Amino acid sequence: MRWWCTIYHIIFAEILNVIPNYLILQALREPETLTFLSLPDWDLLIRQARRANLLARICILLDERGLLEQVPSKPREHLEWSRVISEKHTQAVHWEITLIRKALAKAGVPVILLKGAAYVMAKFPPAKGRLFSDIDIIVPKGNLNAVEAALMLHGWAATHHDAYDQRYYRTWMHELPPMQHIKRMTVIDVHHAILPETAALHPDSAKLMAAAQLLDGYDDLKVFAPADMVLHSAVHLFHNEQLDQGLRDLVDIDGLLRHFSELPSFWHNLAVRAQELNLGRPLFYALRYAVRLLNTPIPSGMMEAAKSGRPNPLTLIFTDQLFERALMPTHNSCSDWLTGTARRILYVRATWLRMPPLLLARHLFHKAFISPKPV
Amino acid sequence: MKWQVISDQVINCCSWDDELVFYNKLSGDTHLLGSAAAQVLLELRKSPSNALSLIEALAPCQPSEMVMNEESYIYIEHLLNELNMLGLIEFS
Amino acid sequence: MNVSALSPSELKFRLRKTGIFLQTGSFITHLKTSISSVAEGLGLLYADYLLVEQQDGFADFHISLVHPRNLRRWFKPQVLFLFDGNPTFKPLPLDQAFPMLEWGLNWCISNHVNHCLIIHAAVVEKGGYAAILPAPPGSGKSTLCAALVNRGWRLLSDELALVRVSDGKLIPLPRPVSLKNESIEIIRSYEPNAIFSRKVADTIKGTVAHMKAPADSIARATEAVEVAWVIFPKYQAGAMACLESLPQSRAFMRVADNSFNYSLLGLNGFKTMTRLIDASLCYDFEYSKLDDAIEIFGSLKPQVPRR
Repeated sequence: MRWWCTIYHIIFAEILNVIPNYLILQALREPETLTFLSLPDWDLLIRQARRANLLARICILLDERGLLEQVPSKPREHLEWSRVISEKHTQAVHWEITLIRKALAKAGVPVILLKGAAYVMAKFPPAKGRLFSDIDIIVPKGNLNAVEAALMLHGWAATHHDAYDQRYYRTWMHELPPMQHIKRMTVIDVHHAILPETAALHPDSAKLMAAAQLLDGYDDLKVFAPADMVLHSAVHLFHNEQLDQGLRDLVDIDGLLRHFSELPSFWHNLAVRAQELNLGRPLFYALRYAVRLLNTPIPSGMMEAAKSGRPNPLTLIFTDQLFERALMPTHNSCSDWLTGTARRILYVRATWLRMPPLLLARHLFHKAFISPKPV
Repeated sequence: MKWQVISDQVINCCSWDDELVFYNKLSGDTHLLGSAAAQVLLELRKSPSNALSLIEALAPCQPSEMVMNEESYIYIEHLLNELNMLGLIEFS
Repeated sequence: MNVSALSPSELKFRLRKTGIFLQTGSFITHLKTSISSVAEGLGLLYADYLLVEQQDGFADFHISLVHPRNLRRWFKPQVLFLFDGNPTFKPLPLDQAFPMLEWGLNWCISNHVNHCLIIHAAVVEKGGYAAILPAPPGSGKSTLCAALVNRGWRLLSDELALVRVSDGKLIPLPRPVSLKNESIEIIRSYEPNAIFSRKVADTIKGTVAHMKAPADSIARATEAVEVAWVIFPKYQAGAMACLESLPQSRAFMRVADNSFNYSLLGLNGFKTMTRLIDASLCYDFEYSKLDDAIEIFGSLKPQVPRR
């Protein structure tokens, strides 16, 4: 009975083209409208944003528009509380990168920063109001041992000592097991590719690294070129098993696209690069959901070009229903009866994309029955 | 070549009696400096200096036996390195 | 309207259905639970606290205490603390539900309130000046605090000193004083009129009970105050009550060690702490008899302004 309801709901919703209109989305799309919010609405928005790790971001969006004074004092206090945390995180990232540079100075390896660390050092918009958990870098595969050794010499230690986990990361995935500094307890993820060896898609990481650009004022720190940064962000989001940071990741993509749109030929480069690296599908999804959920301004020419990465119409109906639920914050007020199912389906999808079926079955079995569970 | 304070950092110091608490705004760490290190820092704040000049400048505050011997030189060098490690001073 | 305006059954009903909006200090907490020991504890110890009307609509924290959804519902039942629907701690035995509420409310403050430097300390006030009593667990801080507030000192907090970054003042958060093990009977004898929750045994801190905050302290919960003293108490059986001067630089580092968010506040944390220490006379304080402690505290004088 429920199966038929699902089909009916999906078709009905697609016909109505219903996009969720939660407060958090309103806040991100049109921050100016927040000055008209009632106190109960502020209460709910603060909770949604906190759950999505976007509270500090909203604080900054309002501050940049000179609207913070118009927020009632109680919600404004909450916004400022979260800004304190994000400022501390930013200070910590700067310092951590200073120490990583010191540690890797003699390894003779170009350090390319990824994701949050890259946004902070390059001063891109997604850095604003951001909370960080670890630092991600990418190095050539051949240099992995030297990098690991240099980090260990300077106080980072391997985590995930379980033999299965070690093999998972080193043999099948695209990174070393996360390394944690013994004193500072900070974590660094050292990647050698943006997708696992076992994945169906194989974007050429050497090309990405070759196109990486030095940061202003540094001779030892690089970030991906603009189009590559967007593509990496898209791949990261649409291949990620856990989507509880999904909206934040989409907000990153929105921020990058708005920022880079001012560069000449950016959209053209993005389309060409996606073709070149065979990343048309994740790019299609990134642009589609950025527009549908955040009203990101994207030229129609780009949307046309991105259609080459579009899945078949039936699949698209399903993925819309799945992502438009799973990308929402994990808060009761942003979910319906299908949300839990959507997250579970996308978890399996992401793991499927990472590994071939037999390996996937073995991995899921191991995770379910053998791996120690968190207490 | 002399030691000098990094003014951006030294601004975040507070002293009570002869000890000093310092906040490093790069690392976010807070450090307590004992009286010897605090005195060295306060001298350098007045003007850049090297180890020998510091020993001379601080001599009136030290017991007379400590003046101008190898031990006090090594000690001052050690303090200068500590202050450098903490990010308070630089050699230039 | 105060909590006392509701009958016990009305309070239980509201807690179960819509929850209540409880004002403590300057914070509003939306609290929902169907656990009767929590309702009873609230009715007894929070009788004098304000209930905010729902249509005002904004709560700083949304918490609930629930039975976990597993077999433990019926066998050795447990209680779970949810912050906006998410569990923040492991479940505890159902008997510990009221202490869990208190610990949970402290967690809400210490994890969010970043316009204040938050120190793990008791704060009491007399004559317009506050004493901060930081102390690691087991130093007798809460016992001393409970005694002081029953002898004319105002209670600002027994657990969390909130030092406002903007002006260095302490903001009150008077809530029930948490006592454990022998301290419970000591304070019961010291002040027979004090109101206590029932004892809860076998918690992680031993046997705990909570003492109702004096009505005057609750009534003055909006009055922020300047700090004058930082005093590290240490209960030592048989010791003479003794205040020993502590160098301010050492006090700074020890108070920072006892802070929840000193590091998080970055430069503002350093500046707030500097201002706090600057304004304070700092002491180590050893004592065994409460009356001696009261006398010593009574003779404290704020320092003459220096800077």
